[in-house]
Amino acid sequence: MLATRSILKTVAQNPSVLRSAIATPAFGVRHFNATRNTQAQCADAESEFLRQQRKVRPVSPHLTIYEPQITAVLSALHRITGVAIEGPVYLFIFYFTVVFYLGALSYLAAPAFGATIDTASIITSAAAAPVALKVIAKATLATPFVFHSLNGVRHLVWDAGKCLDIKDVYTTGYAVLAGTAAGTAYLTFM
Amino acid sequence: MALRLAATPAIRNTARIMLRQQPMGLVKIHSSVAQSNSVVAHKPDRLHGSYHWDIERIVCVGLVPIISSQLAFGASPVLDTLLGVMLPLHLHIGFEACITDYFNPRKSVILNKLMTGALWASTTGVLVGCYQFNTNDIGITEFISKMWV
Repeated sequence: MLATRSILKTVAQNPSVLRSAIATPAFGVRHFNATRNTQAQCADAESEFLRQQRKVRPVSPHLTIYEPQITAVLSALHRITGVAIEGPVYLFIFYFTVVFYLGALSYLAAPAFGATIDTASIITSAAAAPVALKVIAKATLATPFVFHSLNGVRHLVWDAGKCLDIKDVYTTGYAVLAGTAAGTAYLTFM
Repeated sequence: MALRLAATPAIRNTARIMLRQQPMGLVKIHSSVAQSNSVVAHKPDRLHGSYHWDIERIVCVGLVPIISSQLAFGASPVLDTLLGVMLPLHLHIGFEACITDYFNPRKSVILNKLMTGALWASTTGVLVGCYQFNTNDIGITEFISKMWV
């Protein structure tokens, strides 16, 4: 095979794989080593040098300069709302299971243990909360749920191959946001 | 002579990379994480590939009528049971995606194993818990609708 420019580039960027089999040409090749040829170390030491150098090298700004667009923001929100709903759900059901089994075990010993965590008491204590707190709590719970559901439908539409060009992405994105506002209002005041 | 030269593994590797026949990740570059030199290639298997994708989309699509009918018609034991299966599955697959993205097995080996183990344990617990909740208590939908007043 001829030593074309692309081969030389590949060799330069991956020296440790190819060093054993190919004698690297002395000219026209950029070496990505941390030290000069006269001070070259073994591969692991080179890697460690490179790692130390990369730690102190400046990084170009990315998140700080990129304009937030509906594409990236909704995508991030989709994951954030998903995790935000999921965490408490897992915790609550997990906690409920643990307490249920603990309560069943300790039924013989102490009848009152675990009886205070059953659903009836939670419902009555939730109903007794002040109205403002209830509205705020409902809005806080409804918004990520509605948003995640509507954006999930948007993802399923994409999986079906529809609405994939940028105009439709923006249109469906705004529709999801409008739907979230409407759905949250409905759920909070229903 | 060109044929003998082409048989050496390094040139073969280079040629295959240039022809996009193998993923870039197989080439060893400077890396501070100790890795074995042998190529780690997954055997392609449908269970973790296309079937996983199919199951994920089926669960998502299935959740839409369940949630809509619960919002429209209220609680029912069948819907609660279905929800108690589909919801933990959906949550599990979602969390798994987050773990793969943020605690990649190649980058953070131990943390990834820890998180995956915790996830599997939690999902089992949630499945059992949903079943208990639906069987021995008033059920998920009824609980939420009572709290939502």
